[in-house]
Amino acid sequence: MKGIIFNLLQEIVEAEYGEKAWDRMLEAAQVEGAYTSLGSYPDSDLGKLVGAAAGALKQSPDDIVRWVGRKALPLLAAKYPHFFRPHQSARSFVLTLNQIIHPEVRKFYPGANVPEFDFDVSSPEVLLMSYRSARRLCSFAEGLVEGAAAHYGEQVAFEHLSCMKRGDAKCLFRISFRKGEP
Amino acid sequence: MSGEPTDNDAEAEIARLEKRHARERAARQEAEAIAERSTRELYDQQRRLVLLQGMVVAANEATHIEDAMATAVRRICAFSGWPVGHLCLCAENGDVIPTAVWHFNDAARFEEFRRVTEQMVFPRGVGLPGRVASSGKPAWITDLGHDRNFPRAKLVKNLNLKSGIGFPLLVGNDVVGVLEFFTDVQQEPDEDLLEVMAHVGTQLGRVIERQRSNEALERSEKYFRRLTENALDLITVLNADGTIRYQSPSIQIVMGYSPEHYVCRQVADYIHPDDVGAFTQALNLARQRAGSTRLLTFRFRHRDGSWRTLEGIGNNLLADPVVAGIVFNCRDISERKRLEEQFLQSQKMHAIGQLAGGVAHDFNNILTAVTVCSDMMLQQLEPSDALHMHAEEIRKAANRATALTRQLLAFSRKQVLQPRVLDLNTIVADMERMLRRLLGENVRFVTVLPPDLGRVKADPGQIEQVILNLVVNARDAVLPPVRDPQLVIETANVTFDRTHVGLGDEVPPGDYVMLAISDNGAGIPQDIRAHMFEPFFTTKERGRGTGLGLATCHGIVKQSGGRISVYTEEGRGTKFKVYLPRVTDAAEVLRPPHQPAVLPRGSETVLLVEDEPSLRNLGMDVLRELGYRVIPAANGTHALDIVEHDTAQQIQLVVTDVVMPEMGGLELVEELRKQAPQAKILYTSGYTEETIVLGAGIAFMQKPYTVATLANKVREVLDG
Repeated sequence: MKGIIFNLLQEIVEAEYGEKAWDRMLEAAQVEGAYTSLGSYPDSDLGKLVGAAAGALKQSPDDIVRWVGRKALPLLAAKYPHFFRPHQSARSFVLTLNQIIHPEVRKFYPGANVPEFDFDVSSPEVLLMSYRSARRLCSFAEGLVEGAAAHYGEQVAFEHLSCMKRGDAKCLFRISFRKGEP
Repeated sequence: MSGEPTDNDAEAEIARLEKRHARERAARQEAEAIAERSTRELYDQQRRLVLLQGMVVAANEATHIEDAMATAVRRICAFSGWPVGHLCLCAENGDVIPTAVWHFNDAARFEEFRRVTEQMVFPRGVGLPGRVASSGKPAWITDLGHDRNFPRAKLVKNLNLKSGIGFPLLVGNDVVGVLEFFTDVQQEPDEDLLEVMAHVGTQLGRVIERQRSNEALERSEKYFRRLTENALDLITVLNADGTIRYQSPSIQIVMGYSPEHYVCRQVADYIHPDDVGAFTQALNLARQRAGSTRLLTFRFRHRDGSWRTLEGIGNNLLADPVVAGIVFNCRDISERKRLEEQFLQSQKMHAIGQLAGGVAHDFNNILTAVTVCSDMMLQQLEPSDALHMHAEEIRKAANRATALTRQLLAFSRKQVLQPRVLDLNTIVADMERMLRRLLGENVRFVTVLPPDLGRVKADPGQIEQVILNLVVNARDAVLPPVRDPQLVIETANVTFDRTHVGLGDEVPPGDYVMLAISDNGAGIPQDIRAHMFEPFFTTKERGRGTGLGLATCHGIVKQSGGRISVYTEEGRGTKFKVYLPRVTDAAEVLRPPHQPAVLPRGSETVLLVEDEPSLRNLGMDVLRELGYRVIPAANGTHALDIVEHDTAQQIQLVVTDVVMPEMGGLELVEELRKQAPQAKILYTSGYTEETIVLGAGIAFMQKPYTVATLANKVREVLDG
């Protein structure tokens, strides 16, 4: 996994809970903790860190990951505004993941192993999004979509129709965006 | 527990911070390492890009495949640091053939390697090139000296070359060539290098593919260009405005100008003024609709100013982006046109001949009656008798009419010929005095008669008539205001071979005697040349010519198996050439016919066969008057009936017309020979439907005949 994910996690934890909280997480997770954005690190490090956070905050790992996703999006929007600016809605932004954002990610971070998304846009109200990744971080994707909705001032409702963690070949979300703050 | 920090807290904080610093230091060091690695990767990537870009540039700039390959081999050697690089190409049978495209860092050191390699052929699967060609994949040999499938192992050992790599040049999935490289350092397979080579192989494969496509295109272009350039038809591409954009080379042969002469010129400038309108109209119609075709016949100006008739088809390909013009495919049909005109002319002449011959035949029968009757009247009337003078006038008029019908028969080629082997020089020489008198003192008359002239077989009287007619025409052509008028009669031996005899000529190749009569007179205008051999066509003033002179010449020469041609230039003169087939027989001596003053008489039995009753009766009267016993018959069948009832042995002479209903003269004679072999034969005819060429021993009397002619001829045959 690319170091940038760990950097984001560190930034979120430190912003929410302070510098010491991050150090404690590292201690608890028993990982090296020297992450650079371009470096590649074992996926297990993230698992350990999430586990540590879940233990400390008394929450499930999926909730932690989803929370990280939700919190990461504003940071990404500040860092890479040109990906967000052309869009007026979260749906429009999400649809560019495969064609624009991930190819760009691969350029910035050679070797990045990005997930695959598929979309069914036949309905204007509902977006069917499938997610496929060996890391099975569907909660992170869910959090990011929630973050995107918040970014564009929308509400979002998820239905997790199938999940790789339950043995499905891919995760499938039925997503409904609605205009207006929650 | 107080809220104040303790020493332990401080120590813990210090430890945390130290750890944090350590992590940050580690991250920084890693970031620096990543940056260094990235820089190195960038550098390598840049080198690869430079190499590939170099390949692309070389591929695009090279005009020959060898140049592009030489550059590629050199650049790959520079990129990899390997000292030897070489190109092999695949033959159609799959063998890999080493080429002379090499790169060495030390040419002298590898000279032997080069020489030996270039003499080898690598079948599929054999050696480094063969196995790459066979698999279509790169092959890396780490240790050349110990590779079992490397025929040049001994050589590379001597040169201390350790490792080698071969990679395919691919066009799609086909291996079209193999590049092989060798190094003197033992090297394990390098994935980066192999990746670069794969790219290079694809690039160079495209070069080869492009080169082959270009060659195929060039071949195809050459093929079609050759077809166009060697086509005898004229291929012209016109722009929409009628200017010529392309002209095929065959125009040089047909029109005399080079194809370049026509480019950018208006096609209409070369078309006959009378045909421009139709051509332009057809062009406009063709231009209005894409793909439409138009068939046209028009005259096109030759470089020498003459007009050639072209027949062509125009195809509007303006909408076709490749051609973007109107394409004309034309053919010179001048010769065909000439032949068609000649054929029409010949048909016309034949029809006129038929008419003239038919008229002359009937007219001759009438004239014979007039002549014989007037002769009988003249014999019976005293000269002092007033009627004697009228009878004489009738006789003179009949003579003039006889001359006219003879000319008509000559033209219609229905005269009965009595050909002899002749020396034309003798005929001209015999006529010379008469011709000088005819021409008068003002005309310079020259004869050129070579002594070795060949002989011809023709009717001497007819030939004299030809000469006379042509000389009379020449005389009329050199009348004042022609200055220094002259007329030349020349003879010569000529031979026509296939190159002289065109398709339209009516005489076969062979040996001929030419009789040419030329004058320096007014020449014959273009518009009357086509008609000058037609009967009754004359340019002479009323009363001066019958219009039968040239027609007669034409008929006589044709009937004699020859041809007559004319070359004329207005204001400069005319030359008529008569060609008659040359024969090898010796010339016969011609004797003028003896005409005794007193009519000879006789008492023999004469069978007179004549279908025309008036002539039969007249002939019977004349012959009985002269003492003969005459048995008249209306035709051949009637004659044979009479002979059966009468004693055939009594008949001493048969005077018979040639053309009669039921049974003609020739057929009659054939039958009669069985019953009356002793009988002599005298043919008479106004004309014969089919030309009869009678041999020297056969007696013939042309109608109309006079009493004297009949009396003399009958006696001559009976005494002969």
